[in-house]
Amino acid sequence: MIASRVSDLVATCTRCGYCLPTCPTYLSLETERATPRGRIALIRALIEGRLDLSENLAQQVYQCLGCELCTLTCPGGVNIAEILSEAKRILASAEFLPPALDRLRSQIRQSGNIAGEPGRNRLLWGQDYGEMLQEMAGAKGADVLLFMGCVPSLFPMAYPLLRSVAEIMLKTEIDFTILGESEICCGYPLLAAGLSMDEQIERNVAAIAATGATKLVTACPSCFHAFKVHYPEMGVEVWHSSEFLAQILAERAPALRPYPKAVTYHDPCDLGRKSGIYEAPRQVLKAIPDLQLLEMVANREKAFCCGGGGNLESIDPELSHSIADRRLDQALATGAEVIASACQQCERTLLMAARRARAKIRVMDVAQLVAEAVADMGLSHSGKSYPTPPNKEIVGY
Amino acid sequence: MDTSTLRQLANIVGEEDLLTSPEDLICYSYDASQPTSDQLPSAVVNADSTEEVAAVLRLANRRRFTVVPRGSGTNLSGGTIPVQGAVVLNLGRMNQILEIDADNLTATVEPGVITDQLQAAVRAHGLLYPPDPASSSVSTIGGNVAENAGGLRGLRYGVTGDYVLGLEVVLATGEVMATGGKCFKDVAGYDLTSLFIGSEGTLGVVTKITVKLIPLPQATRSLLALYCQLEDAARSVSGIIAAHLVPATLEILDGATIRYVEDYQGLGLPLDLGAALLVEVDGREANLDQEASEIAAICRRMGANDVQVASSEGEAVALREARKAALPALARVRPTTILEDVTVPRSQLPSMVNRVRDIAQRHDVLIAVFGHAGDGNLHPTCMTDERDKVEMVRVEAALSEIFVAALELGGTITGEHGVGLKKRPFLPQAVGQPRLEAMVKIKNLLDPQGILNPGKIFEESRAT
Repeated sequence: MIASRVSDLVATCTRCGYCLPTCPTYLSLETERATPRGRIALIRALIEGRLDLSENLAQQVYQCLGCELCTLTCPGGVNIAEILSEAKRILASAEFLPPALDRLRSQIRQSGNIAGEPGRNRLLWGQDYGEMLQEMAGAKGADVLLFMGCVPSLFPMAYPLLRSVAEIMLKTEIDFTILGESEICCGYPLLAAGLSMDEQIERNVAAIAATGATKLVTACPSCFHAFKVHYPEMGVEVWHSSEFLAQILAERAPALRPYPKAVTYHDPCDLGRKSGIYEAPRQVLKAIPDLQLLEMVANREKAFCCGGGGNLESIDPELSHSIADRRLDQALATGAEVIASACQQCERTLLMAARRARAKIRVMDVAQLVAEAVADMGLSHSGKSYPTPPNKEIVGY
Repeated sequence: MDTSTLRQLANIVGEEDLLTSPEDLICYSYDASQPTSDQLPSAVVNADSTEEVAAVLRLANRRRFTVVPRGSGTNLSGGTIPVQGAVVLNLGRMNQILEIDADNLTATVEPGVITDQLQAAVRAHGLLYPPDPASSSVSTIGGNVAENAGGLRGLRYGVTGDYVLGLEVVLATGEVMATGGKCFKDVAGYDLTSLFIGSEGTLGVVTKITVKLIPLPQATRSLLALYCQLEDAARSVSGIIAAHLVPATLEILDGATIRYVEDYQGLGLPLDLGAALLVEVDGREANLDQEASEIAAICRRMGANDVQVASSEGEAVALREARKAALPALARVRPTTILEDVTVPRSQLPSMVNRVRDIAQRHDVLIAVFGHAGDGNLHPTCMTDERDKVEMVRVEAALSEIFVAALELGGTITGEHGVGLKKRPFLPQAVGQPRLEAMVKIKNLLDPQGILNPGKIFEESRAT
């Protein structure tokens, strides 16, 4: 039932415990079953027939954020992430999927997105552009496809992120297209739940190919990671928006207004540790005049998860919040006035943490900071003028 | 365990802190010792206070169940494996640093404080808590005391026990006792603090610890010396000590370890080396360059074919890389990594390393050696697969011979990991009958019903 490769991986854990201080769930719950070492012990017991599949086991396995800090830290190089993925696959196939993830599965199947909303809602984020997005959708000939992602295009709190990216592309006259109302989930939330994302891969590969674009840009690190790592070669370059912005700023050197604030950058797990993108968002921030970049002690590959990893927030919000609170404290310790990140999920969890703590710190995407800084540039896109959408900051007072 | 005892445990620690699910029991069935020897506890209790610990032990005496105190479960000797369905007493949540007394140079902590957290807290006061076991990011001070943990700085600064001034201990019978306090000198009767240091949870449960601190050294210098001949490295160690230089760290890697490190990290180390020494001196900035160059000269005189002295922190980090990578490199070779622990008088280091090499060859098993050359404490590390029962027979035979070899060279079977379950068969030979009997008498006196961590260090005590 369990791939023999996973049996072999499980056997390589020497239980040294060096993973314990890296695990956000352990630091919050302070119990061994919430540790990578404990989860591996449970999976080993399952393999050896000493433990049965149960909801209890599912709870321990699905609590894992998939942030992979343990995997990076393990002195024995045990691929803990792969062990947990396999355990989720086994639990899901035996229908021990937590109810929240069962709902997520149905929503993606039925509506093509994690919100369970009709596809026509995909473009509500851009209503202020009038019919421009509808006209743009599916248009052939553009070099760049902006893959919107479920959260940025369907959850209003994340609209500013997508608006900022679109805004900068428009202002710097990047010729881009979108899939529009027919865009579907990349499938990564299913994979993270131990389910198959084959259908999403098949449909997205076809839809992306049909645009003829040579570059796919997405603001969602989870979509980015999925396209980079879990999709077959598609013949398009996959860019995260932060990389794309860094490139735009380097090549086109638009005039940027100063932003005289202290900013700390939070590395999203899917973008940083899991995809290796650490510098591009920092380059973007450093390009903004007068912005002072402060690093948290746990930065880059050692960054601590925001609590929004995996599907934890939908399964156990209380635990997710306590992890976010810890990361917020790390950010506050830098003395920064703004937390910048490059992930709508991190931004949301950190924003809510700031709100809970009544902390005087803003939470913004690097794209939002750039969009504000380029606000003075002329407005033109394919010769058309368009209204500027209200580009409100997410503020966490 | 009967339901009425479980109910009473829940009354003591609270319903939420009594764990009995199959998943929880599995998660407290092991420690970091290899090969694995999991045994399910009958329950796990999270203690939050000395009073709760005392109440659990009183109940254990009344209801005749056994108790295994536990911190982070990083020990390598099987010390926290709950044999005979013991109740695991988790002290990890008693994790407050109660006081850092910068005037008296002491700190008082609860047992669940993580070693690194204490280090960081005292460092903020310009102070140092020197014991630095490799697992310091995970291990607890309580566990360090119970195992008398050592570390890399042992040569100059000693081990955990050298820094413990006083303990609060819950005796097996549930009485609470204080041994020592903040006094650096205290000879009022028997040294009971020392009795509990390294007692592996068999005599009492430590619930408060006062340690002494020292001023943080101003600066550090690092050197890496590479040798074709192991003996030359060993002579360098003796030469450094003979010159009255006392480095904070004096670590050795044997040729096999260096080759595995090179395979793993590709640091550019020659593959025909017999040994490498990592030396670190610390103290006042003004003296360090002189000290480092004296040590470098000794290493060269003794036959090192390359000595690198770091001139910046960046270079120092690079020099430490080989030592830091030793365990990760060895742990990747085979599924099971048995990190052994023997100590010999410093002069016997090359003999010990050579004997390990011969024993490994004879039994056809993979063993590499690294360790704390400065204090003669070596970690022969066996790379194997515990699922291969045939190979494990050879491994057990080889390890037994290594312990015997250490004893023959005037050494001991464990320098810093403890006896626990894994070294128990070798203790009588290591300490002799009179010393063993004295230990058993102490155990029986302090724990008349044998409820605390039974079967560790020696067999079930009352049967002896």
